[in-house]
Amino acid sequence: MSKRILRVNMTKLEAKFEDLPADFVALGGRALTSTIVAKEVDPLCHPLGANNKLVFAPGLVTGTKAPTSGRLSVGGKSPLTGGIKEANVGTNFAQKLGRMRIAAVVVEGMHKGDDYYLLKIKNDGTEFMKANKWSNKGLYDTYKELYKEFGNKVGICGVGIAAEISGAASGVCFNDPEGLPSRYAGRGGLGAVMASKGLKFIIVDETGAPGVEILNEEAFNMGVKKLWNALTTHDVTKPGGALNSFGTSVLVNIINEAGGLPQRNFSSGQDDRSEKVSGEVKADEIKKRGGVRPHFCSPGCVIQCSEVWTKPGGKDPMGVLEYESLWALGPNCGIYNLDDIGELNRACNDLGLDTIEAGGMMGVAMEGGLAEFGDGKKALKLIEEIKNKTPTGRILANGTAFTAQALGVTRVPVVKGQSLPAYDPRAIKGIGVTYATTPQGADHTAGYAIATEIMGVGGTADPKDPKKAELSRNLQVATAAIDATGYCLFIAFAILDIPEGLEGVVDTLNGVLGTSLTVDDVPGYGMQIINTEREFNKAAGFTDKHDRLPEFFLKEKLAPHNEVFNVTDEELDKVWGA
Amino acid sequence: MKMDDKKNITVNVKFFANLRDIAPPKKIVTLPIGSTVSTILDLFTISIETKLIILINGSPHQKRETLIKDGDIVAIFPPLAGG
Ligand code: SF4
Repeated sequence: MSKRILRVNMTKLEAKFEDLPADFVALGGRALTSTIVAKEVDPLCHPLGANNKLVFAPGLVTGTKAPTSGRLSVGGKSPLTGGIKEANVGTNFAQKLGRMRIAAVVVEGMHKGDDYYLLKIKNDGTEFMKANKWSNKGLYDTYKELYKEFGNKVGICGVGIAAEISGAASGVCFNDPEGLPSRYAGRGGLGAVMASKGLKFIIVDETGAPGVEILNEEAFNMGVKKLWNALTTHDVTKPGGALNSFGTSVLVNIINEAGGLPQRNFSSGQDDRSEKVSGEVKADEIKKRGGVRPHFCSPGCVIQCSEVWTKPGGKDPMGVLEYESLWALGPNCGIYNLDDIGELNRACNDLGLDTIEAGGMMGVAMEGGLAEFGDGKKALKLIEEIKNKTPTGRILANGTAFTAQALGVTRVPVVKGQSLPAYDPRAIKGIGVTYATTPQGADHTAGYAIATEIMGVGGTADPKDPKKAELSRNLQVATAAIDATGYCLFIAFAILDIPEGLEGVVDTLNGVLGTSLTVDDVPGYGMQIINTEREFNKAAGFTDKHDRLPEFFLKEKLAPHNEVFNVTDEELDKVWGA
Repeated sequence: MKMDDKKNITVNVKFFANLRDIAPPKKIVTLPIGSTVSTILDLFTISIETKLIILINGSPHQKRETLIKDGDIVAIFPPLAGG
């Protein structure tokens, strides 16, 4: 069986397998979602109309034994940014699709009535079922019921109430290994795209799947070995290293010390209370409570940065409490209490909200007077407004920029309509260059300059030096390529420093594809993805003037370093040579 | 006492993540003028080979030979990343 595309027509409630076109064979993950979206979606279409498409694509090696490769790309035109979107998630759902040789699921059209549907994908067929009984319900209870109904071996993708009300802050939710609805292709409002089509869930049952085809076993096995060696020896990614021991929240203290951890809607870069919600304190609590740490988002990860956070006493497992989520719903709202943050994250997962966008939204809501900074209980009440579909809730569900506009707040930390993540670009300039210039809207994962600027991974760069076009471009291009492979972006920490690790990645691609790519082919491959995305955005109306940070970053000094974002427009335009 | 003030500096040293297994989270230390990052590592018996990320007053990429000044905040991390 060769690789195939599953085309899902929601207007007709039909799903058909097609052969993967020959010119798509070397495309996976983000390369495939962005190529299909660029080819098949009118850049000027309404993102929540029948002409948008939602594309799911596992990476090229996803579903194999290659370490740390359980990633999925979800793409479409974003209702948040108005541009092309790729949101990335780690989940066994991705690996199941890979083993069923499904290169992409393309959801198109739109169901006309009020019904919601569930699509079940099996190796040899598909089935639509009505899903109305799970509409208007929280995803924690719903995922439990879905596992009861479909068995605990399936993978589940779903959208929540935030998506049902067309919220541009809604994400697409996937199961973690415990079956919790805690793994998100969160960014850009793609949850609302899925719901707009009348599709509520996709269930994947891989029984009878043939597994990923590997055309050159020798090259593949050699690559796995080299990459495994790199990941298990590099200080950042190895077992027992800081990422494995404390999770991504190990960043709280270092970014706070560096003066770049945004506090209270980006009004300061440091607060001593941040230590109370650090990865170190959280790891201790998880141990005390009987949660899980370390843990993986998808089987086969050797880095294992994940965890299961619980209420006190080990009750009500929530899932992973990531650095970005913890910051967005914590320090960015002046909240320094792990239990408050954990419950806010649970509420986001339950409603199907992107935690970064929700935290950015809450920051501006607090600045706009809907709650006091620091009031975690009131923040939870505001999230409940979304659950109750009140007018206020409908505003909040549309994210940071929309909420700021509704409340007359002018400090609006977004680029291309998407909320900034957990690093203030005034203190750390390179990440600001990425926020401004990625086709995705403000996104740290698009070109993670922090690694070089703060941690000295992949070389060193002074965070205050405004000459960062080259650093950001190189990282963005490499990231796009990694996002196509299905490897987790965190392998970059090891392969940026260990050349054999990068060789291993390329060997595994050659193994799967039967090609003879070299590491020199990687930048060109990544650049092609970015070009495709930029072309789409251009046709959707974006110009280089959209590759800018909001004005306040250029004018308001950030404590403690008292820096503004002083990267020139010329430097920003140098990233893509505009 | 005045003499001592001139000879010594007071520094706020912080250790993070796995380093807290071998050093305290925070300590104010008094060091002779002319002390470097290495002086601090010696004081806490951290081997010179240990890979570290060192920030002084929020500036990263500090070297072992960097001079420490009175009132500096020295934050010491193991190799880490995330995102
Ligand atoms: S490093 Fe973390 S996010 Fe990446 S695949 Fe492993 S567990 Fe998932």
